[in-house]
Amino acid sequence: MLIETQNLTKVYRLKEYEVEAVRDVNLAVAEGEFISIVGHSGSGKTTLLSLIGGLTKPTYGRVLIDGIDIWSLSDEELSRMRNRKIGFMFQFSSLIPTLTVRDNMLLPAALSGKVGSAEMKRARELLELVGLADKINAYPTQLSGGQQRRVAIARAFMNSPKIILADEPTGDLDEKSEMHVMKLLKAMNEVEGTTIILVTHSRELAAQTQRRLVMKNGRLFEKKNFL
Amino acid sequence: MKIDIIYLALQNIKKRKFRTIGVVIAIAIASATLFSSIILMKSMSSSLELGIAQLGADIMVVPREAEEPLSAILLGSAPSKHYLSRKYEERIAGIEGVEKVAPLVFLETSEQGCCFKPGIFIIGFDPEKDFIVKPWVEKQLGSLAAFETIAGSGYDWMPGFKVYLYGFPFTIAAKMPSTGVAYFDKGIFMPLDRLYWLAKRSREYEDIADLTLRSGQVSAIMIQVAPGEEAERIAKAIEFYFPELKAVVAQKALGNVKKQMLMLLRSLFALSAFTWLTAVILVSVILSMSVNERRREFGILRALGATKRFIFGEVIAEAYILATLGSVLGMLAGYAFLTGFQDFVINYLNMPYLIPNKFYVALISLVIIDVSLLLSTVASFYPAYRSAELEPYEAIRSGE
Ligand SMILES: Nc1ncnc2c1ncn2[C@@H]1O[C@H](COP(=O)(O)OP(=O)(O)OP(=O)(O)O)[C@@H](O)[C@H]1O
Ligand SMILES: [Mg+2]
Repeated sequence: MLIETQNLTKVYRLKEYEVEAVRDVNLAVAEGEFISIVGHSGSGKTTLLSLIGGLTKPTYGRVLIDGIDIWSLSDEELSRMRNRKIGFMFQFSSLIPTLTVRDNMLLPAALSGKVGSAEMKRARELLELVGLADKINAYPTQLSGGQQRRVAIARAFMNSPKIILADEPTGDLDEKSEMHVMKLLKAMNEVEGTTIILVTHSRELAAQTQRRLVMKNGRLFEKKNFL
Repeated sequence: MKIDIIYLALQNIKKRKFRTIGVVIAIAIASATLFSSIILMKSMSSSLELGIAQLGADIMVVPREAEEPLSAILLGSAPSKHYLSRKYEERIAGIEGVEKVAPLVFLETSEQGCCFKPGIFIIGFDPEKDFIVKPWVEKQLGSLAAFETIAGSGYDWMPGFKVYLYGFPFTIAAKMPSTGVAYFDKGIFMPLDRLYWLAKRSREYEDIADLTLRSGQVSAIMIQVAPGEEAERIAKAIEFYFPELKAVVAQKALGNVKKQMLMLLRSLFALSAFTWLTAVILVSVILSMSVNERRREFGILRALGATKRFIFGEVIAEAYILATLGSVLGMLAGYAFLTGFQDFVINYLNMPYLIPNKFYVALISLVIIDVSLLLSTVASFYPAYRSAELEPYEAIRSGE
């Protein structure tokens, strides 16, 4: 298994009450799978993705990637894993405002210590795939919200990660762009064998994935009789 | 194309102008204060030392009731109007251990009357006995003709220029090099006999301010002690034989002047410590605020693979760049101020003042940049640490 969670639980302890954002999730994702997670707002989808990506520490349970418990790694190792193996697409705009589109695109490469002509070429190609090659020198504030999202989507593929964790990547995109992004994800899954976990509100998009899951109050269920 | 910590820091500095300017100004002010204080003190103390060496006297003898003469000569306050008789010269020369004696008169032209420049020091010397002024004068020309004078380095009069002193025109025959002795740099020089003559004429003419100086009176008798002799002992001997006189040991008086300067130095350092403290607090607050605004950015960087060390390093790098920039600008401003100020200090405050050499200035600049880097580490350490320790998910969520 590429990704495996064991009794994964995240509890937020607030002053007056506790929120069990993720409860006892046991999920196994094989390499090359394209799965989707749907669920109501507040059901714990973002928290689950963050747990899998090592952005937040579980209260209980483990996350294994390639069989390695990610919280047994040092900060250097965990950061390296995020950099090389995982591409994040966040629910909200996630570009660095002080950097140009090009520099934002190059960040994952820069953080792994290599920015050469190959990386520049890849950045340009990925931008072309999301239709924003002409914005390469723009700053994020000079782009629309949807354009910013598309740059972030392109950026997630920069280091050719094995895993894409996509949190409503098409949230504020029009239908045409949405379909375009979905095509891109599918292509990456099929051509490069990228494993994708897609969180979405859209039944249509979910229907296009190989495996559909639903989150309810922090619990994750397999949804076999969907459609 | 290199996208690293320094690059990210620079982009952030460039894009967040308000914050950048705030931090740079705070550090510039602190650096300018410290730099100016050190350079000012150094220049004063080295010009005092130079001055006393240039003066070439070990002991100065003045009337008991006269004020301490050394700081007046070096710092250029008004000369004493208490005179002593030249008859002491022979008697002091007779004391064992005294090598040379030379009489000097110091006058300051006053504001009243017509036809002369006020605020000039007139220095009268005895061409026969003198060892104080003559080395300087002889370097310029053999001897002075009547109505010729030598101008101190503080004036921009060229040789040939005429100055009116108590109604009489004196031609500038030569210019002195800069000595660091205020009386010399702002003085004009003439033989004692000429000065006595001038004083006499000033009293004869109605429309000329009177000089109270009488023939045979001097302001001070300068003494050079024989090699191996103790100036202190000779000064005591002089005061023992002539209780109506005061014998001031130059080195000791210099020590006292320096002590006064040390007090000034202390308050300058207190001031600069205060500006640094303010700068550190200000920079720390500005950085904390800025880092708070950027939580999300740091979270994204972490998600993209930045380590805690990277985030920590970026915040520190920014602080270093701003500190270096601020320090350099501050010191440039300080240097411009000090050199611009030089004339003001010399002419209006009558303070000795020689800008130290380039090497010393460079050394002080390096020290100040170090101080600035050290203190900016202090100011940025906590914000940097906090940013690095943020949980990426929490950081990304902030500001939603
Ligand atoms: N840092 C936090 N502190 C406290 N509670 C939190 C925190 N993060 C998430 N929660 C809570 O955990 C629950 C799950 O949140 P999460 O963001 O994972 O939901 P979601 O399914 O992604 O929702 P949406 O579809 O609106 O994005 C919510 O009740 C939320 O309020
Ligand atoms: Mg969410």
